[in-house]
Amino acid sequence: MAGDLMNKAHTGRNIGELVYRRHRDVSFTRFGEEGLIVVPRESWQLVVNGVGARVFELLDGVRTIAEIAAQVAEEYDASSREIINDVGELLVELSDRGAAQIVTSDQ
Amino acid sequence: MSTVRVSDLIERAYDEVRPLNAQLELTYKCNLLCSFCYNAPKQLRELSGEQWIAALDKLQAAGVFTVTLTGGEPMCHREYFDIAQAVRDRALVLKTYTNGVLLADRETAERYAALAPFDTEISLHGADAATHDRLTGIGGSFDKLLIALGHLSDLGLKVTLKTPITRLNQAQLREIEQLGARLGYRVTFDTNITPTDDGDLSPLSLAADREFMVEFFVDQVRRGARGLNPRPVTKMKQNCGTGRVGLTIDPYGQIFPCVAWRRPVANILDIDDLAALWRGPNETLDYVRKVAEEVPQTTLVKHEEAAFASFCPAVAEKETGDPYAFYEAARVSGLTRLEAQRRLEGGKTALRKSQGCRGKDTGCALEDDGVKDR
Repeated sequence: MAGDLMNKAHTGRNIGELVYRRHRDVSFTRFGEEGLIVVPRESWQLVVNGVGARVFELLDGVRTIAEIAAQVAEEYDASSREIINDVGELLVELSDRGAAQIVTSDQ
Repeated sequence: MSTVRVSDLIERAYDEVRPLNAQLELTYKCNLLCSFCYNAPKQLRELSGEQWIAALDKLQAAGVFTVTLTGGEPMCHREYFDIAQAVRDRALVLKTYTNGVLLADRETAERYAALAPFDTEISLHGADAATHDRLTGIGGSFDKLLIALGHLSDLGLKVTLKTPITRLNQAQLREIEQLGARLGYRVTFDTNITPTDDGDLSPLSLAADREFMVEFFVDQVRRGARGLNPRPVTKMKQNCGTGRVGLTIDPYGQIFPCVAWRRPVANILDIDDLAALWRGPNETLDYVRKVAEEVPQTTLVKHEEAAFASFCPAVAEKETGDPYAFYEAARVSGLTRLEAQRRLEGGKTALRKSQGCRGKDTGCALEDDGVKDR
């Protein structure tokens, strides 16, 4: 999936350097550990686990994927290297559905 | 990703008594005069846009995720767009129940589309202008609705057309479906006409006749629509989500346990902590929850047709004074579906089994099955 991310996302840059933000139309809420993401224009919804919910909360258009993965790894006492692949996989789906978008250098 | 499903989250909301869905009746003003309207306006000042927007913060803090703007005609509130934008600014899900008339204006429709609503439910009362306009009481409303639907289709918005079945439009249901299909939209039929909120039963005189409804249900199942879905009465934890997963606020700020049960809980202007109110001891909420929990094992189990009935304790109370009473309209709704099932079984038509849900989800935030609590 990381390879998919590179293909879809362009760039030649390392995955960890990419910066994403939540799409402004997207709705999100927590149900305890889980989170629910709703993309109204697509009539699409996704339940994410605790890691996914935390990642989504951290998509602020400023932090890089590597920074988000590091923070989540620390909070969940996991390996940043493992987390970054999960993050990449999630972001591919969120991007495809219009829930998140890459922040380019001119934005 | 998660193995947890949206339905699991809704179950959790039931258990945690989280008001996921708020219906805000922004105004009782309306540009139509529907003869079966259930609103009961009072001579009180309606909330301003600023007051509604302040209410949104309280609702969100209490766990509300989906906000449905309704009325009256919600777009007749002069600050509708400010309120709707405030819903979206808070990353809440926006739905609107509207008659669509004001969306015939292209600029208004574009402004509405920019809000990115999750769903727009629009009333369609007939397959032609004569029938629709007769039920809405306003000439030209059908033509404006068609223009509006064209705009919304162009703009890529999800729309659910909703048709309350009455004696006046019952002969046109197939044509109404076809009209919806031509526009690219699904039509859901509302088989229940309810009393007004102040207990006036006169709208019930417009209800479709029983033999017609039996044939309607048979026809729906035969053509592959959702089945008759008998409810697993003996396993139900509660009849509905009243006072639990949804709430309704009227134009004067009164909070109700659901859209049908007009027992005020508090006024949104008078409280700071809605979560504490909703989860703490409250005479009204405790009462309606208790009734909802008891109805399956006290009322519904006694009647064979109850598994098929649209039973609402609030309507029972309005019609009989007793929320546990198996009132006439519920009985008829059950009997018509039961009779339809028997005819289908006679024709060896398979019915869908019960899905083991907890009953009609009055407060389901994101379920899109056309089920509403009235």
